[in-house]
Amino acid sequence: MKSVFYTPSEERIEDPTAHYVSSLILEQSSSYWESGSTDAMIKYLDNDGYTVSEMILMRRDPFGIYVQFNGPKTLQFVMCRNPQNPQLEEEVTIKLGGNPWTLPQSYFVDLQIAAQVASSYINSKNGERPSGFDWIES
Amino acid sequence: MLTNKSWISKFAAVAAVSATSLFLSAQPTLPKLHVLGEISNFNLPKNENLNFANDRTFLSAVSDIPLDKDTLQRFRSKTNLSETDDTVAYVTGKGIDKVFGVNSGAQTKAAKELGEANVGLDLRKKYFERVQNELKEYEGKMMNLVAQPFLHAEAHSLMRATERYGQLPKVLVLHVDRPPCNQCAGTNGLSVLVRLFKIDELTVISPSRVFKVVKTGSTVKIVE
Ligand SMILES: [Zn+2]
Repeated sequence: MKSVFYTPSEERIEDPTAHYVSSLILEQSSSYWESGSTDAMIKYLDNDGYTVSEMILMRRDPFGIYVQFNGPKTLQFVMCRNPQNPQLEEEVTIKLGGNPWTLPQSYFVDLQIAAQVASSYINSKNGERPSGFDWIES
Repeated sequence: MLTNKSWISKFAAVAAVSATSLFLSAQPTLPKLHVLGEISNFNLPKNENLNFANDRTFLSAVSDIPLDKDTLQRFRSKTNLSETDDTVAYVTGKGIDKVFGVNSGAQTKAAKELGEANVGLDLRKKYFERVQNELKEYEGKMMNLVAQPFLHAEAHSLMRATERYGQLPKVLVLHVDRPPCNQCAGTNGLSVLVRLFKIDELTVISPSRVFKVVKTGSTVKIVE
């Protein structure tokens, strides 16, 4: 099994380090995160090249980062600041690839949390959804 | 003083340059390709001994088909699309003409050029519901929350091609004038439509990323 990281600026890095991904989340500019594909992805591939799981990251200042985990068969989870009541906060409209997308604001988490969950996913080496974080099925 | 030979060669060179300038000045100015999702040179840390598999041309190994910028630009120039926000794609394959698609934010602006009824959200919802009914996935979910690819240009061209032709060819090539987002490039993106439409191989060509979505049995593999 191996992991691959796709940066917003269209670089593809095999077996990235947690430190590198965290530094992009915490230290790069919002214009960096809205360039290129306007999002990033870490994915795990099995030995035959099939995707085991994916984590998509989309930073939009000032809201934070949207973190989505894709399991098998379009099963999706997102990190949520208010997992008991995702609708507690109002909706915000951001752009993905230039196209508007309206989401609950609670789907955007702090940069620090996003860096932790991405690091945990990378360090797991097994592609499982990191536990100990607030996920909801989206 | 110039010898005859050197004078002749110099004259020939000057004449060639003049002819080239004349030729170039007679050419119509081609519209500049819109650089969507522009990638500037950001200062990224690279001192970590990481395995950078690219310099943004890394994925071209799967296909040597160049991005058809001119056709995408021609479609764009007939519409009032935003240079920064809107995206144009088209799909083509054996026996079918180019079928264009745009992102949902652009569909009203491009409606005249798309030239058919049912180009809007209803079309996107129709195929989202087909995934729910036929693949038994996304059940009970809302398209806007869980299925952004259905609202993007790449999927739109595939849906419109299916509307026009019914069964699509097994092998398709899709050109798009922006780097696809990871929702589209991931397993819940174009892969879902490849499964729904029973396509064997979809090659996606963009300004910076090229990949194939290949169906093997009931599963799909992204090859890059
Ligand atoms: Zn997309």
